Amino acid sequence: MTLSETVMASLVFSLTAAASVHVLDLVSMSVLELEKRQQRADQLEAGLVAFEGLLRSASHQAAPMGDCSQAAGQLLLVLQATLPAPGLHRDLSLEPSGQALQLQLRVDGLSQPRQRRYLPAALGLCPVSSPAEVARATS
Amino acid sequence: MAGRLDRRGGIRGVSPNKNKAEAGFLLPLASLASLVMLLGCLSMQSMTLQNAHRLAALTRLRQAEDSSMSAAQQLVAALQSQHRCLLPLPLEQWSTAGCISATQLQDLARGEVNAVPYQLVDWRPKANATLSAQPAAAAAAELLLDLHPLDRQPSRRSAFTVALQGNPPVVRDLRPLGLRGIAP
Repeated sequence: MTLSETVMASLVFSLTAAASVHVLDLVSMSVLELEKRQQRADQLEAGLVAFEGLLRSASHQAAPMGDCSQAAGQLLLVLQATLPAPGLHRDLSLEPSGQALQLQLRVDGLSQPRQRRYLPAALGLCPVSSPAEVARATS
Repeated sequence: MAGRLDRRGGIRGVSPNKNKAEAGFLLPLASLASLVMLLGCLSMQSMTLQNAHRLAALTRLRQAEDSSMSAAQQLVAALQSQHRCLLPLPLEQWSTAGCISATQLQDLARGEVNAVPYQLVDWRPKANATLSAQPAAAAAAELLLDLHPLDRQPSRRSAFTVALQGNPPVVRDLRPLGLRGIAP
């Protein structure tokens, strides 16, 4: 064992150790960031499931109508009266046609929102033309 | 150390071979330890990258679910509003139902939602939807849709169940059954 060998070995080891510590630091930061993003994505999913539960409950309670724009407007009023879970930003609006609702659900720190369209006709809220149909739909 | 130094700097009583073996063990040892450390770091980094890819794939999957749900809402709303006569019939009988033209059928079966094209693959009412004569009878139909994203993502097939009621049936509810894999 010579002095030069000892110096070389310690140099190699210390350089690699420094590089490894740096890489581990980056990896741990990435892991934390990924965990946060995963939690936010799960929070969005839970918010969406909760919203669809509300939508179903509201549509089962609402009376079917002949006009789908009217049904969409009524559904919007009922749903806007409810609050989203803390941390979530909900943007619920009527489409220009007035026949559909557009939902956009966001959470801080996640760039991509969840977006869905809901049509009262697909929920059985419209259009109904005869009193018999209304009675059947509400039974 | 029991041996004495001789003229050549060696140790008397210790074999020259052992000297050679001892000289130069530190550098290979340090190199080996460095290699192990680097490999460990690289494997951890690759695991992190894999997790990032998994999360990105999950995000794409959820976006596909959103588009599929919107497409199903659009299609079922069109059936309920304009083509209720088709609700109790399986898809293969739609063209001969007599209540929809070929152009209307083509428009109904293909559409676009949030700039993502979709295509109706199947509509299958369960047996009691077609056979029941009860005015308030509850039934269901299964809806299959293919979504064709434009951004190099694979086409995905989704299934839904549509609650029907009455005779002739009307739509009562629409629920997702989930993605059914990659569309052929």
